[in-house]
Amino acid sequence: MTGQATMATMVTDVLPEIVLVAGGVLVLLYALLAPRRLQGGAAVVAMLVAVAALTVALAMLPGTELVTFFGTYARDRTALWAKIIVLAATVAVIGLSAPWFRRDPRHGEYYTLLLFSSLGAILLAGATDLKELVVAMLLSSATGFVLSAYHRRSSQAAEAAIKYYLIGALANSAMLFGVALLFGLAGSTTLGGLAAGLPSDGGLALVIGVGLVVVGLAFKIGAVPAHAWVPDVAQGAPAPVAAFVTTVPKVGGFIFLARFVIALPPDAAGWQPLVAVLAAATMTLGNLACLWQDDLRRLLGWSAVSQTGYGLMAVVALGSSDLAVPALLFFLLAYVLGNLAAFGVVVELRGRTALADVAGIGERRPALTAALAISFLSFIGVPPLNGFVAKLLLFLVAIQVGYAWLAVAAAVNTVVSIFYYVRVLAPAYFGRPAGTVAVLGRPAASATFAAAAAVVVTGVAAEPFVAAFAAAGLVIR
Amino acid sequence: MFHPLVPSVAPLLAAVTEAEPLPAGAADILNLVPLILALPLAGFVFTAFFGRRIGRFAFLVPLLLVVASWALAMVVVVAALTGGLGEHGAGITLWTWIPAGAFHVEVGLYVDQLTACLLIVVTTIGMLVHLYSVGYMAHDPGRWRFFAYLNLFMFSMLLLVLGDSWLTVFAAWELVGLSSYLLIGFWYPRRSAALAAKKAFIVNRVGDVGFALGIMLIWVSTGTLDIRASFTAIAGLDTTTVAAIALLVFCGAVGKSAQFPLHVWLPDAMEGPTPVSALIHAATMVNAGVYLVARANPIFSLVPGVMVVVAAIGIFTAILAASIAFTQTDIKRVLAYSTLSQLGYMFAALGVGAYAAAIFHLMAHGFFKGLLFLGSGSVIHAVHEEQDMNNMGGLWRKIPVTHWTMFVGTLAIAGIPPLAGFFSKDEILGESFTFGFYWVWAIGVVVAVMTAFYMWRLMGKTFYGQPSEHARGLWDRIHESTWTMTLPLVLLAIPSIGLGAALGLPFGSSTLSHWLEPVFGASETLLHPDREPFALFGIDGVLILVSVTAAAVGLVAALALFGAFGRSGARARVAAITASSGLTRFLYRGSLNKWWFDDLNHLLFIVVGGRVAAGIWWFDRVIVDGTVNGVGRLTIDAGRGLRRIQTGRVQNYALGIAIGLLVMAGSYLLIAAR
Repeated sequence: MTGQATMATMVTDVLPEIVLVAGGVLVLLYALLAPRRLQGGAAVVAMLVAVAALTVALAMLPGTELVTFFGTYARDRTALWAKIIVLAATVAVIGLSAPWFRRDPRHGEYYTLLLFSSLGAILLAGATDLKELVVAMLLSSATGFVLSAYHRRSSQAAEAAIKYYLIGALANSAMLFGVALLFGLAGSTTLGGLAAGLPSDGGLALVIGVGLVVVGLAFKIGAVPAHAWVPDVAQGAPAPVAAFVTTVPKVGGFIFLARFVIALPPDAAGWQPLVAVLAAATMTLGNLACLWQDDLRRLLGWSAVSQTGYGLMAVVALGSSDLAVPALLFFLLAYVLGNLAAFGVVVELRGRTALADVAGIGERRPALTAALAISFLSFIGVPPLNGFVAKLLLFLVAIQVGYAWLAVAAAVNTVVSIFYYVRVLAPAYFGRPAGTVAVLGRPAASATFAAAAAVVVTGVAAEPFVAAFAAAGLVIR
Repeated sequence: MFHPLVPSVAPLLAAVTEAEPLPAGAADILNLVPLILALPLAGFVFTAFFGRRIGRFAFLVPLLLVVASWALAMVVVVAALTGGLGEHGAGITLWTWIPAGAFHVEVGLYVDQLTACLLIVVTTIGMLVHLYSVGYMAHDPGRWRFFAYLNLFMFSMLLLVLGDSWLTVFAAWELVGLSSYLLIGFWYPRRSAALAAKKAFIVNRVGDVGFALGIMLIWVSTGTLDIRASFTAIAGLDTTTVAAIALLVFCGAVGKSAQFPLHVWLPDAMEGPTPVSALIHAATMVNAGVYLVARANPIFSLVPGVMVVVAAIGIFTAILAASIAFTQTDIKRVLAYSTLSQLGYMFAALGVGAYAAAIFHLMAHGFFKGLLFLGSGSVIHAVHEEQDMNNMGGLWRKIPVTHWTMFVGTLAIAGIPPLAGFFSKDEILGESFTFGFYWVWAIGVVVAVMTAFYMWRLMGKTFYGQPSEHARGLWDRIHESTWTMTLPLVLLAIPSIGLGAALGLPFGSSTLSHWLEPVFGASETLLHPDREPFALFGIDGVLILVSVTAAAVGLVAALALFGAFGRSGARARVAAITASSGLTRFLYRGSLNKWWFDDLNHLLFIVVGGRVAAGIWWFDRVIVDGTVNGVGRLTIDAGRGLRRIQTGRVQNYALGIAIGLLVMAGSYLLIAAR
């Protein structure tokens, strides 16, 4: 086999990524050349690009699972499903963004950033190399900072973005330091190389190295201890961006974390209880902070933190339970859809976010309120919505691998969470409406309803999804 | 660790299914079962989306669908009770929901004789309450919402009795809770209604956590969530685990059926419209706990110790609630406490192992209590939404249909032969005695006296004596309700009279106990292997005489105090007795204040719990939110804002990350050093 032929076959392994890069450049060119009144066309182009990438990813599902590009990039079904979830979410966010940014004269470039940011998340999901990790993290984070600050004149957005950036810079540089340490210990940066080369008695250096990388990933997925940006960004960033950065990067971060932990030496098995403690801390902290939250967006931010905690239960079970990967993927699917629906309602309500603003919307906007109720009930885990199936699988894997205490902690947290979700839903249905409820427009409504409908459909017909996810492998070499 | 027990159970089940081929025609009947559920669900969806536009006639679709659902249910019931579905019933799998290795959840429905009995109660009373509501809610602008919720409730309740896995039952369990919450709070602008809805919701969560943990324990220890398969597997577990499962499941039952100490939500739930009180909080949903324990009888029968707990809580609730009903003056609250008390009887019956008697009383009580509640609604309507019985009196001439049907209901609940309540209550008391639970029997007899007394008090204050000032004020405008409201009353009076004799005879081997033999037979033999045959001219005859005497004593005492038809002066007589000694004054005050349970809960949950919540709130406000609000307001000047962020908040974030890293590394090292 010649080198050229190998490169050619390798290129076919990253087709969705290539579509995104090319499409992102295309959108940028369009935004540069199109006059102001046609800037909105960039949304259409970006939507077509995302759908094209999504189609390619779906077509790649039946292929063989392997690690390509000399051990640095995985082409397995877990990565492909992550790409599919990310791209579907991107399509929905584009739908939410189009009416939101309509009056921004320069918003064509926004969609380029959006596409590149989802590319970063996709690269994270496929990365099997620490250098690849660093690049993907930077791409995903840097675009996220700019997206959060896209309302240039809003001090709230600027504040959120600055905080996001500072925390991100700290977490990313900590991660870089950790990568260097691990490289020094293992003599390789690929995960396969780490699995083979990391000494199980690596001592303090191994501990610090792993800890620093985990901090970087915790930032990405919004887990303790680097979770603090989530509520700020959820509240301050433009609402469609908040929907994006609380969902898409999380998918990539979770999948890389999953690959990373199975590459760690098994007899230094401290990572399992470690992740379990992080999971318990994340879900509990997120929940407690939600309890008396009077701002819907901030509530969604904290609830995103607590949901991350539930998702970490699947990571705890990796390597010990066959159900861990399907549980993780189903959780991501359920979480992303639910969060998109919830933020979609906020977008459609033109960003109004105080609890008092949702009072009585059930009477004025029954369909929109139903979408909010579906997403919240799914977060709680009410059958037959997909959040219920996700939670069930998560509880199950936690119990299977002997972490019953974690399942009990999650159950208690779930019961507590009912309180603050109902605290929003009860006034929405039983409150008195204050005047008319203005909404944003059709594209945002369609995206919101599509996400809410998907929450129901993937919950009732969970079987094909769970079966497909169960067939997904998680390869690192 | 995980125990894959499924393989060991599967062959057993396969054997059961193979041994019992279904009778011919059973498959056709089973295909009707999903429709019983689908019709009310369709009614809910349709009315939720189009009800507001349809307006006045929004009741038509829900009503017709529920009638159709009732008709289908009756076909299935007849088949199930005549052996058309095989001796142990039959099931139908709708779809596979979650296939995940050993964890396999299928959504399926199952009909056996116990389900059939519940179907009779739920669909019949449900249908009549829908009809009644057409008249009762005629003037409410939001009644399309009411009918939508009613249909949602019907769907949930039917799913609860039809579900064949613990998970389906739990889902339905939560759904009935949700629809109950929506219906209690139906008149949400009224603050008391909103509060009552919240109280019901929160108190029920306490029980539900127990039930959920019980289901988890069942899955962890047996590896299956199928109800029937889990019974087989649980029989092989150690007693401690079985006892834990039984207690946790009972926890859920206590919440939903409002037994002590979670009984406080039910009287407040009377804030909902009266048809809701009749359907959900008297005849169906509150029976879900009784059904659950009866359904789980193979589990409970393995642990007699837990059954004593069930009996004790049941009979204690019965006497506690009856004593409170003595002094309440709100007509619906009297009936609510009476419901608690009668549910207590049912749990007492379950606890002593008289499962069939409990289901008998469930059915009889469903009909006569449904009747009494709907009657009270008719009374409340007649006196212009007044619920205080002190503002009624002398109404019997004005609303004769309501009066006479409620008269029937009162005699039935008091246990006067040959009405329904006599047979079912007597069976509970008689079996408690024969099975050696003399204390349950003795308290039960006292409760029977009290029941007859407070029910006649209700009749006396409402219908007899001189009309009160309020009633006299609108005397000429008081009229009988429309036919949609009186027809259900008359139709409910029929089973209140005849159901007992129809199902409860002959004594000792009644029709109902024959029906339910396949469900309860094994457990009853296990618990009471050497049961004496029924002796009408022996001890059993004496027991019947005792219960009849108890009912008569209560009635006569109340008659003496509150009179009948024209006699007046009841209040003076009551006041004289209350003031006669310190003890009676104490008893009166205790009863009137519901034995101070609400005050205790207020202290525990509002005062103490409020402090805890305030602490968390403070943490969130000061530590989490405090600075950001300050920062948020003052960042108009970007540079100034940036300086603020740099010196304040983000440093805290960074510090948090650093501490987190140190804790992580430290614990990692500790574990590695282990």
